[in-house]
Amino acid sequence: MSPTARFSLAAGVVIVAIAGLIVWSLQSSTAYYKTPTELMSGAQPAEQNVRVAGRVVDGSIVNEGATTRFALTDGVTALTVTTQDVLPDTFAADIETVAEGGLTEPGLFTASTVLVKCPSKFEAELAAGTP
Amino acid sequence: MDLGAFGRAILLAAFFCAAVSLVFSTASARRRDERLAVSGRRALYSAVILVTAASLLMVAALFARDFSLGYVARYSSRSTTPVYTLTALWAGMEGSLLFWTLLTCIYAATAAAVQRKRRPELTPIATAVLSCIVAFFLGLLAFAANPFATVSPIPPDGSGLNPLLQSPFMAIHPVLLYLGFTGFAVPFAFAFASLVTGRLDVGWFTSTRRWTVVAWSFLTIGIILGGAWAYMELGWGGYWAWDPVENASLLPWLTGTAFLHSVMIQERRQMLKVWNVALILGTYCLAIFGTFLTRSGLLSSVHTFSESPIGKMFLPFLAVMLVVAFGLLGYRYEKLRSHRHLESMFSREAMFLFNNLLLVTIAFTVLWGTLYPVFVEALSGDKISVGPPFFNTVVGPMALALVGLAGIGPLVAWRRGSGRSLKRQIAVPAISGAFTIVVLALLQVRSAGAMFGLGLTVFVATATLGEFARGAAAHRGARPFGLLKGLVTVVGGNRRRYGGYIVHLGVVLICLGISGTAFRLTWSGVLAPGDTFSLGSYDIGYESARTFETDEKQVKMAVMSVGRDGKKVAELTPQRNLHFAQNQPQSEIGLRTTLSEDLYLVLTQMDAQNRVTLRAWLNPLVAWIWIGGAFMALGMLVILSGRPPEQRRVSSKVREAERVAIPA
Repeated sequence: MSPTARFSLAAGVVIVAIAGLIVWSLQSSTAYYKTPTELMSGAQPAEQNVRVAGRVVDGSIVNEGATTRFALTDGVTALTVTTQDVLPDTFAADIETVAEGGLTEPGLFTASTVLVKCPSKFEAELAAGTP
Repeated sequence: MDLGAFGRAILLAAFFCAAVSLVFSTASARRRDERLAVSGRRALYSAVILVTAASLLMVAALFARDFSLGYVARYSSRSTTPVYTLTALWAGMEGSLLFWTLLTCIYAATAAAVQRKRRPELTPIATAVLSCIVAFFLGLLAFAANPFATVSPIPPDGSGLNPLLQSPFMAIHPVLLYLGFTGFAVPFAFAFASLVTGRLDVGWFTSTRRWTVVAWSFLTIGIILGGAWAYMELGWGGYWAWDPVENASLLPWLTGTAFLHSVMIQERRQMLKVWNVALILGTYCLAIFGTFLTRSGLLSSVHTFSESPIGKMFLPFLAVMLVVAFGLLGYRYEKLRSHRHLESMFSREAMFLFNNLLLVTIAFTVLWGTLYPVFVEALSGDKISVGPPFFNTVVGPMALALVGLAGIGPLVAWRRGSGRSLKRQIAVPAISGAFTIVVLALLQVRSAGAMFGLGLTVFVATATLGEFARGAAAHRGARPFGLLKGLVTVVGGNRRRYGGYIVHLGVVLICLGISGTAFRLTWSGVLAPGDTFSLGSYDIGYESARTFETDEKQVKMAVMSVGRDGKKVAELTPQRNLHFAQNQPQSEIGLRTTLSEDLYLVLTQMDAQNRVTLRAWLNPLVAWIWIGGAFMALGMLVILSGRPPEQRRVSSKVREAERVAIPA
């Protein structure tokens, strides 16, 4: 076998291995975005690795020590979220937020991370702040 | 005429100049008319002067607090400090686009001016390509994202720069990234020109090699400083989150790194011509893709600018670039094909090929992971996200293999390596690396990644230092500083090679720093004044709260004492601030950095009774990432301090001799 053929073979093996790794780990590390309504109607408390997107209900943010509790709404259903994550600096009432985690009991979403949804992290609050 | 209209007029004039340059430069290449080429270049120079004027006008408007311009009102305020007033130029979408255009223009004009004598056959087409790029961006600025748009009524004060962006890192990191992204336009244009003209000899890359190295260096440092910004400002304890925009900056870096390596094979052995052209064309396309990604609102990220129509305009531009560039490559394929083949799997060429394979596969993985949510949503409507574990699992092993290659590659000879000499040179590094892994295993380190990462770190560092030692010993001078003199001689004599090794050492140190992640400890909880907790070997006590107000913000600060072995070693003051202008809270971390570990404190909340919610991280070895970055920068300076290829007569003579000696 010529060295070029040997290299191509080795490259093929590496690429197939990586492709396999990509497919395998995509399955385990993708999270599905759901709305609170979809999540509540699905009602599968065991489901983990879910991202719920919604707006933080005004006045729902309660701090209990390191735990924060708030409600997320998509305009139809409100979902109670509890988290021990450090909340982003832009987290506040009425902000589009994504909570990642799963339903631990019916109606209670335990989030491992809470992100403030962009697309405009640096401009959204400016738009909100300027009359 | 008011300022807004004046600014836009300058942009229109610059757009016109760039278009003229495009037409004249193209015509000059077709008719081989030097006078047209001169006019084309002059039009490009005029565009540069006009874009510089527009940028200065914007800076002047920012400093003059002219809030009649919407951009000035959105990104600065009367209380913004001078430094951040200047950085507001690249804080928002329109301004950053103007800045990007300015940098592209400066690169384009400098390249056209410098290369017109050296590469008269390529420069007209390259100038046309660069003018086309510049014209596209100026078109966006003049017609779609006008930074000089005015607002009415004029607000009494601006909103000011987002406090997250008010960091020294943020002042410098985008500048370096942009210098990197835009710099790849020059090798792209010359590669393109060599395809158009059919002058496919070594010329195009030897004359743009330094441009590539410069662009790559800026990009590298920009990415590392971006990590530093995330670490210091965002307060989540880490520096890299596989955020889409971070990935977008990594993609051209990966292919650019592959190019810098594989181009050496073409230089020495005249192989891989098609591959090299494809890599550099792809690199600039990825840089443009990154700008598209950040501005399209296609993906959500901490970095994105607001969703805007200009994102959509990037797609056709990118599509045209890809189709034309790779179409030309296909057209010239036969002419580019090399008639030399790999002689052995055990040769420097093969090592570089594996290096390229890994870098490009990593780039593909990152691209796939970044775009996968977009594909899934388009096909099934499901909204998904791909998390960091995906990237860590797939990229991690490949990155480790790549670092390992950096240790073996330089020890293997060109064409056909000698097993005996490799064995002799690799023995010490391999034993040290294996020894490290055994020690870590005995210490019951659980993470395989960290174990191999640290083992490889030791292996590659020893192998690379061995290269320096052998070189120095061969050029050893008279005592007492014989070896040192030898080192200076050998590094000074071949700056490209040894500069490259210094860059490798930097990479190894970064690898060391990243391995530390496996040993990270974290704590979170609520503390009342007087409470203590311990993390690792530290005893941390909450002493008191301090609150005060400045013009811009309300500051809540927790005074934390940090003790170790019963002795107080530091006092940290993590803060939670409320910025009035944006009504936005922001955390300032408390950080104690040592070479072995960082203690990182984030204050998330302070209540009326002065109880604080605190999160603490103990991040081992993080400092080595920044030290590694400094090493990389040093290596790049060493490479660039060497003489440019045109003046390197001796080596080209050597190359000529080799060409004669090795029958093709």
